[in-house]
Amino acid sequence: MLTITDLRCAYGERTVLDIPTCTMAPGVHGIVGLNGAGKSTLLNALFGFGRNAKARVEWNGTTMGHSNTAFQESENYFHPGITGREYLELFMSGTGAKDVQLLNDLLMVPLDTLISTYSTGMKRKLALLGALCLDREVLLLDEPMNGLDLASVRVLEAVIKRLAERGRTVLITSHVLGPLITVCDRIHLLQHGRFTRTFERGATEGLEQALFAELDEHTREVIGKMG
Amino acid sequence: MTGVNGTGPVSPCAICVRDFCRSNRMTLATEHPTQIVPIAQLWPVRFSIAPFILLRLRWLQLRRAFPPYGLVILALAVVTAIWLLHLVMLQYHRAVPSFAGGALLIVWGLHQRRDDLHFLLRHVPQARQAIAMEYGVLVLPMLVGLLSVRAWAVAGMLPLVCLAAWLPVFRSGSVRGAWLRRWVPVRLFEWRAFLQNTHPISLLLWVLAFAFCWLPVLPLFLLGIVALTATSSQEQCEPRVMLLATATDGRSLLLTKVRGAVVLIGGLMLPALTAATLFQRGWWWVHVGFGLGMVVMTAYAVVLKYANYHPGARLDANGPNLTIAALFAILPGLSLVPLVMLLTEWPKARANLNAWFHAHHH
Repeated sequence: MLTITDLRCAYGERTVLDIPTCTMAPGVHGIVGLNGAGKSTLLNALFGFGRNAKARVEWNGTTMGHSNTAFQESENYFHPGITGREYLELFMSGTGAKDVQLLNDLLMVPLDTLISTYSTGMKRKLALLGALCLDREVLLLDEPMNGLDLASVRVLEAVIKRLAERGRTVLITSHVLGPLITVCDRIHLLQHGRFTRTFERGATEGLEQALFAELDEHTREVIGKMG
Repeated sequence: MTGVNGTGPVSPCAICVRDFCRSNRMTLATEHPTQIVPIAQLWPVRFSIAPFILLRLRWLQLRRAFPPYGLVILALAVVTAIWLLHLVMLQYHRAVPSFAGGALLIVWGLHQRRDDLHFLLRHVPQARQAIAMEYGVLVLPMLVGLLSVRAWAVAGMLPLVCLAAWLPVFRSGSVRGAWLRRWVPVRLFEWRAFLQNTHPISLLLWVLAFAFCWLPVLPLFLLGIVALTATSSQEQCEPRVMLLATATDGRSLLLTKVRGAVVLIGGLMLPALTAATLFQRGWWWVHVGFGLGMVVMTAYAVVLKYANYHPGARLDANGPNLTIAALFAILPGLSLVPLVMLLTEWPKARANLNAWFHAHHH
């Protein structure tokens, strides 16, 4: 069980995240919100990357740290001059290394060529493989579907479901609702740095409306003022 | 960040050059693709500062990287290097063409590997002239050295180095030195990147150092070039996930990286220097001092990188510090200076790494 308590992140006067308490059971949790809602900041804070964030994050009653969490960042950059395989070798101490080699048969990342020659999607897949190699209890995926082709999205969906079956907790942020609805056990709506609603699997009818309600109202106001 | 249609996104470097051009009342090629209007047309005397744009940029970078006394030290270091060059060329007059050839080779290598070439050609007016000026200034110390020993013919040939700016660049996406990379431990990926950037020239230089170990100075010169290129590969920072995958805290990461660098550079230096000592037994102390100097310089490069580490950044500003460390490292007995520099940076590196490892305690 992932427990977040008193998560706050502020840049000067502006509060970006304010989550008093939240618990997440093992399974797949989607986090949706508009740009600037605080999705990436949340994952960064959970992994310990948020320099302005303060929180108490526990995994099964003990403090969560890098030893039980893997993180795939939203922007992937790599050390130049190395190959995909050389990058993955760094993460090979994890127990998921063998599975990742099998998985790459599906994702088809050209591991023996230089990363600098990869496309955006290939780089995304490589970062994902690195995170999966570690096989940690909690997996934080920030926009994992960005840049992936449709086939790779299907593979990713299957992988995430498998991880959930093995008792892992997966947190995914995405702007693409379709795959999230397919794969997530719960979808949390993040607005202005707070979780405002949670949708269970199979009961996501109001998700789109809740996500865009504020925006639609504002859009109507602006359009009404236009000539 | 957006870019002009058809030109791709504008990089921070592009913005830097664009602002620089505007502040100097110059017009970028992309702003008026059909007609480049340099400041020259606004002035009564027809003179364009476009060929000097890179020199101005380098000067600004130096000023940003150094306090004023640092610039004075750097100038003194350059003068010392010229003086040493003068002494070496006086003693080995026959090798003077080799020195000039080496300088040409280095500039050609730089030209083949410079990352900003495509950008400069696209966005800077008279880019090739600007690059040529940069190369000209780069070999200026060598030119002064050649003139000081009255090697007129060779000195007359050296300005040809500026023509490198017009040479085609060959880039390959293939993995270089695959068999050598296997010898490099996984956690020392910077060294694999070093091989990618310098192979096979670095290997050739090392083999030449070994092959000419019976000569008194040349092996040291060649090994010095290899060590310097190895230190420059320490300017690129890895992303944070790679940092976390390498070690569990700042101290163990520093120890892993420094120990690995010492072993690798020591492994490179030891065979050639041992062979050189067999031929020049009286020079054993020079070889020991030089070997230690190179090891300390490389370790300093690693520590300096992590003292200024920022995920994904390229620490170009470390270059001048490394140059100073290198100048002291090659002078026998003065390798204590880079050692002091290393020890000074060590606590900073640990503090900086600890901040990145534990930015936020849960």
